[in-house]
Amino acid sequence: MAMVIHRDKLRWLFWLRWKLFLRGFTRDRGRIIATIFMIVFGLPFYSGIAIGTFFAYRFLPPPANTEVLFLVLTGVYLFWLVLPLLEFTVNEGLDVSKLILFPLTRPELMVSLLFSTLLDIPMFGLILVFIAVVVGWAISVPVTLLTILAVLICYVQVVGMSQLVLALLMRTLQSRRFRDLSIILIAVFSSSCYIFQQVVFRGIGARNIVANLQDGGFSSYLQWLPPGMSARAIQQAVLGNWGASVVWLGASLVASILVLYLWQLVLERSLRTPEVGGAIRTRRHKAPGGAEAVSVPTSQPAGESVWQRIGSTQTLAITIKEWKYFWRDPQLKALLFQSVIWIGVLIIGPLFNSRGSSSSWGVLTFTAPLAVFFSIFILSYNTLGLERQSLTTLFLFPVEPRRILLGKNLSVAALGIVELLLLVLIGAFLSHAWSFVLPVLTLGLAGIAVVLGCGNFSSVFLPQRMRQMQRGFQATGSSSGSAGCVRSLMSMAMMLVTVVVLVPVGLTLFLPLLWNMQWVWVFAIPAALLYGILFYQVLTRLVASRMLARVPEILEVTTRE
Amino acid sequence: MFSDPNSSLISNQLVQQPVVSSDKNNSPAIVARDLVRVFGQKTAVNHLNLAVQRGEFYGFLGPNGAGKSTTIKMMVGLLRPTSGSVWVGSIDVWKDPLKARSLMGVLPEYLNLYERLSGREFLTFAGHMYGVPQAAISRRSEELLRLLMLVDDADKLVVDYSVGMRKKIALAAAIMHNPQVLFLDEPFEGIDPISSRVIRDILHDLTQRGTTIFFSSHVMEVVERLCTRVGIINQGVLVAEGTLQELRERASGEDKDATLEDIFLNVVGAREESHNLSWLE
Repeated sequence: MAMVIHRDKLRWLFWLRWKLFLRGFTRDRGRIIATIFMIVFGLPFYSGIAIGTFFAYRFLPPPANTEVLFLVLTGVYLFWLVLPLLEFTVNEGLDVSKLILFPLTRPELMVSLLFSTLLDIPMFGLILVFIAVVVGWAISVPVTLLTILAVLICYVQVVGMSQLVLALLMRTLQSRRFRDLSIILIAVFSSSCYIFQQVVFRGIGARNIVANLQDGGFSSYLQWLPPGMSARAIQQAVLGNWGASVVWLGASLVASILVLYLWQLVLERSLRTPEVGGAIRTRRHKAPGGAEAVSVPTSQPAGESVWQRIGSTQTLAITIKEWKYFWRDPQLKALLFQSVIWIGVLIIGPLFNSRGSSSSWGVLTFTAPLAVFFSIFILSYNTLGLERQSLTTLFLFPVEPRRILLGKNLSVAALGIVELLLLVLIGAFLSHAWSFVLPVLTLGLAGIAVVLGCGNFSSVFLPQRMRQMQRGFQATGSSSGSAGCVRSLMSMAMMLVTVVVLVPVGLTLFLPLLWNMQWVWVFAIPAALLYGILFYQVLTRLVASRMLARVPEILEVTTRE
Repeated sequence: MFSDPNSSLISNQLVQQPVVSSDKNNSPAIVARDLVRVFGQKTAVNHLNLAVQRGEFYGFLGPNGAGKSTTIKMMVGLLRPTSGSVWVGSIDVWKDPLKARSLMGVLPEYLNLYERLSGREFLTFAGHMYGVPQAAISRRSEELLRLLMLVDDADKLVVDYSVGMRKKIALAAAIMHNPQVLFLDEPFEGIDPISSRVIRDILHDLTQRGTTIFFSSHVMEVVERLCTRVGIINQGVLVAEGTLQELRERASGEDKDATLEDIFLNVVGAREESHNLSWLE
């Protein structure tokens, strides 16, 4: 490719990126709402970081203020290394392979990528952070000028480095495996912030961080990274060491040029076809010899019992399919991980908050069912919507609705029971409250039945579309996806209803404890279990009888693109 | 002469409302009566009446947006008609949907398969859903995978399949339970010539054994070769219907040797025009 840039082509490339940028916010109602949320919450967030760091530069005593500068520039640098990986499918412009069909030169492709990077929401945050650096260190005109220069070099490094990473990983980024992995990682990362915060700040790091800020402990290492060079240049200029400042600035400039050179070198290599693959290990079935008569089923026998239904191959096939999906589908896996993380938070909470005293572990035993209820509510309140497009296929099969619901419920119930067992047993082991295990487990089972019953109701009467997930900041583990405000409100209302219906089960556990009349459990707990089972049975029967008639309406909501 | 929706190309028996016989053996395999579907201001399907006899290979043709897929969706119970009724094997699809579904296999336009199952797992799952015994599922799966040349990819996830492979695995799932009626919406789209030949043979075999096939396609050559009767829909209205011979005979005023493509283009009102690009001259 010739090293030529045509002005007219650039104009149209910018036009393309601008259109993609605008339509990223206005393509549908969900995007518009997301944009409003971003303005309401994102802008204060970035502004807060900028203002906070500005005050740190100005009012923290040296060397803590310059340490903050090192940390901020390095943090920004590292964040932007990862950003293209997170943003790849959200920012359509980052996929340069779409432009390779056209006769564009390498510089034109690079400029196009720069446009895409610049026209991106996190870039506005970056600019705010850089403005804070310039304003925060504007103690004299020469220092201000040098700071502006250092920040500009740092800016080029950040953008160039993120593009280099993008070009290096282009093939991987376009693969289905990476898409799956990133969806899971983002969901897990966003859900595990609490644990991360507990571990980093409470457990190991908080005191060390403050000490390192005061002693200048970070900069001695960070100065060897390209953004650290820019930070060191600013610091030396502030101290009046202009010679050292220019040397560090020069080093930073060389690093930037090197990054840009590497980027253009790698870009061409990355423009190749995406990988396709993904064989999985499954058991191969040998074809048995001889023909067999096949009886095609018609409608199911009317007087079929629950046990017959549970034992039916259709129900079991649906349960097994659900489990496979929980593991293989990145969106469902993310939901599953989130529910496991939720359980993890419940275990970690007492460990950090009360130094792991036996009374806090005792609380775990009693709160375990609540955590499990919440965990399975996420997986069950929109159980048909979670099927997404493949619900059409499921509805084409001649399967009785109760079998569909039961198959799905069994898969979630099994997860809930495992979580419940783990939590209650861990809590009882650490608090030595073994006498509560049986009552809590039994009531937990009753509650699971109630939650699943409510889930069946909302799945059939208030189904929601679960959007095919993307990577990036718009990716969440939400099972409602772009369902819209009204439906989100409805699901919240359903959660409230579920909580209300769960109240009798909770009271059965807590009232006898409160009044110190645990003997009541002998009657109350079996009654609560019966309540849960009856509630599930009645509601599921009611819902199943209406499900077939509602097939078009459910499909209309859940499979619409 | 064919552009008029009320032209004589619609056979008399279909202008009259099709009859659902009480004798299940003699009644048509598929009957649509006064089928209407309205989306907002647009009438996608407008009082469609048709009957497909048992063992027939019925080609359902129409230009893009004519209402073919909408009709098929209403016939298989995925889209509620604004009005009208559909019977499959004498079963009212909207009154007894489970029974109707057990009689039919469907290859929809958009293949919403279980993408996170492997091809083999998907066939096993479909077999169980149709109530086929495990031994028969295993045997039929292997046979279908081999016939459709998917053996090497049988343990790959469906999400990693090409369009053609998806069509083939969906078709395999649709015929796994030996359905009485098979609805196929554009089954040959994205299929390579070798697989296309195999599928044609399978479909031919199925009709020989009494399976009724309702088949929508844009590929005239395939329709011409396979279908025993053809219906042409345009703007939601069934504008022509009959065997290829009947359609030709009715078109005799113009051209006795007219191909199905000629007949189709005439019926839907596509006029002969110069299609040269001015800037290529």
